[in-house]
Amino acid sequence: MTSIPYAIPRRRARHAVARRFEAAGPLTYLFLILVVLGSIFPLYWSLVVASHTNAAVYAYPPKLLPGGNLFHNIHRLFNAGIVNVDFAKALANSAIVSTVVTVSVVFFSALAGFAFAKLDFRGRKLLFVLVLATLFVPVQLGLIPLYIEMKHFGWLDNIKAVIAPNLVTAFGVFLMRQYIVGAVPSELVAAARVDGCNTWRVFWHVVMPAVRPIAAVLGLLTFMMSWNDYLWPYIVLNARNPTVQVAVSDIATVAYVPDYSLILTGCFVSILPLLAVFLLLGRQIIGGIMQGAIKG
Amino acid sequence: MAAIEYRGLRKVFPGGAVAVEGFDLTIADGEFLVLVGPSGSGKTTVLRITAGLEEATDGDVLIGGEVVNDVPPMDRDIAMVFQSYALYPHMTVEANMSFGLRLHKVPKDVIKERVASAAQMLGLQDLLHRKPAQLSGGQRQRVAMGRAIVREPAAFLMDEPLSNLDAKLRVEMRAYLADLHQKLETTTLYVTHDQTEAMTMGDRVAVMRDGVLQQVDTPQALYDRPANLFVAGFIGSPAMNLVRTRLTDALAVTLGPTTLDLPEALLAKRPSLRGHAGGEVVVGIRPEDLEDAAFVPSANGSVLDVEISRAEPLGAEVIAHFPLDGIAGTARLNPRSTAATGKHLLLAVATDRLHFFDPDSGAAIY
Repeated sequence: MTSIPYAIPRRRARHAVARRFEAAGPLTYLFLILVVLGSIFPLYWSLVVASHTNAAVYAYPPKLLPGGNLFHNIHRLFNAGIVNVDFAKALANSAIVSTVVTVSVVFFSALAGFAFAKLDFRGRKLLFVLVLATLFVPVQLGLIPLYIEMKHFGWLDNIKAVIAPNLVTAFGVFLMRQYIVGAVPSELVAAARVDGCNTWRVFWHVVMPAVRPIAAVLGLLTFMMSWNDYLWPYIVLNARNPTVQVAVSDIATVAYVPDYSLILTGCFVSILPLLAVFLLLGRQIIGGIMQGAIKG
Repeated sequence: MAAIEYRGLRKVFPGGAVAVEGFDLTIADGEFLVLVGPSGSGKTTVLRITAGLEEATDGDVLIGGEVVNDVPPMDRDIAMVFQSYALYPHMTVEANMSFGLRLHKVPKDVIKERVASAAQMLGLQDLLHRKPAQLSGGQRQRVAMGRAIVREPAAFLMDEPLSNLDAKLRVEMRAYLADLHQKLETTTLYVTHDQTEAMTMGDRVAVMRDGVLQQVDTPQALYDRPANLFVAGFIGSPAMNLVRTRLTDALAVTLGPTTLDLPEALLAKRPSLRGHAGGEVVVGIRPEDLEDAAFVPSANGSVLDVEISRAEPLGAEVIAHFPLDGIAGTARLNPRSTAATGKHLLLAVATDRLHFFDPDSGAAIY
């Protein structure tokens, strides 16, 4: 019988270790299920409350299953005679604000990121540091001067006041700059220039296609933040022309006894567009992220 | 097609690093000129200045007789092939090749015709709808060439285009590029640090060091008559053996215990050598000018007795390494030589092919 080389059991041991890392055990599944349940619960609870009458919210023991009142509550939500806000308009406003802000942030962040990453100009480093420095200024500190500015422009109570201050973000510029430094080789930019591109065309034809994965991530994050933004729209908009978050808060504050079923119907409906974005684009976004992570 | 000319080119980078200094050179219309030098010698900077990707601090670049210092890259009528190929990853092979033409608003039927013709020339017909990530290194290299060819430019600029290929493919592509140049006859400036590429591909070779042009000549002339110690040591593989020694009044040189008399034929080729009699010189011996004395019956006393420190039999030849007057000497020997590690060997020196350099200036003595 031939002797067994030492390498074989060692290799097996290594494979066993690798398997242990690669294959998820029951504890991992249990942990993940708990995390998923914890994440889903607030949404589920919104649905439960939104599908009952307001009286049922105070029932004991609490109702844990959805009721049959959801469509009635949705009807009430969109009926301007019952609630004091135009919820359909709020949804449309939020859709406009979030879309414009998202497109703008992705575009301008990529443009500035490209300039900071690939163009040579005097003061590039200083300007980039200044852009980064704005990340450290608390949002609350800018509210009053920004409000005065909006008032000066005559944009109060108009969604322009929500869109304009968010058209470009320092975080977006930073994210894009860091990505472009690594993902767009300088030789590619040089090749485009020799091929006949001016700086704008280099950006449009070479840089933009290359940043698609990170643009998808930045776009999604921006859309979420813009859709969920409450403080600034609450300051500059009113109940006649709100975004969806302002509208929900207005429903909450209108009566002496809050109508929780209506409030959570508003919350539930306001979440649906975000869910739709995830369900429709999730695969493309994750595909984009993975495409960016694996170099060809 | 067009000639490329450099007049007193100088490039100083921010921070004071001088990349190119006093660079004067003319590349004739249709010529294939190879710019060779070690890393940091300034050759890529010259190429990038030619392309318009870098601005010269001083001096002029002329393409087709016109100063192009202030002309943007897209208007210089040049095409460039990069070391990393720089293919647009989101475009197909066809889109990559036609991109430059589309930007220059060339009619669609002309674009189609040129892409088809270049694809046929480069064997890319079946790959036109693939993306760069789906291609091998050699295929990517050919696409990069195709992208340059379809432009039908006045000149090609190539920045180490073969250095990312494996050794076998590199040899194939070298021959391919040389054939292509014969076919197209487009002025080509080819930058490389690989002296084999330089010697095999260039009509002429320009050697650079520390931003300064050392010598420009045909490959053979560069090999046979190097202008200075740097060129002598850089061109040729294995490198020339360079030994500092004294030239006696009787015009002989001493290498180790051996004194080699210089033949009249050599002195006739290098008349200035007589002026260095009694002084120090650097003697250069190409490894192929040393041979196992057993195969040279007419060595006539021009023989060195050396101890072989390492013998490398390569089949077609034996490379022998040995210490010689404080340097590591190399000889390229007959494959049937008995040279073996640790053994003494008599090496015949082809004294009529010795090279001589001034030890102070490094300039060749002719």
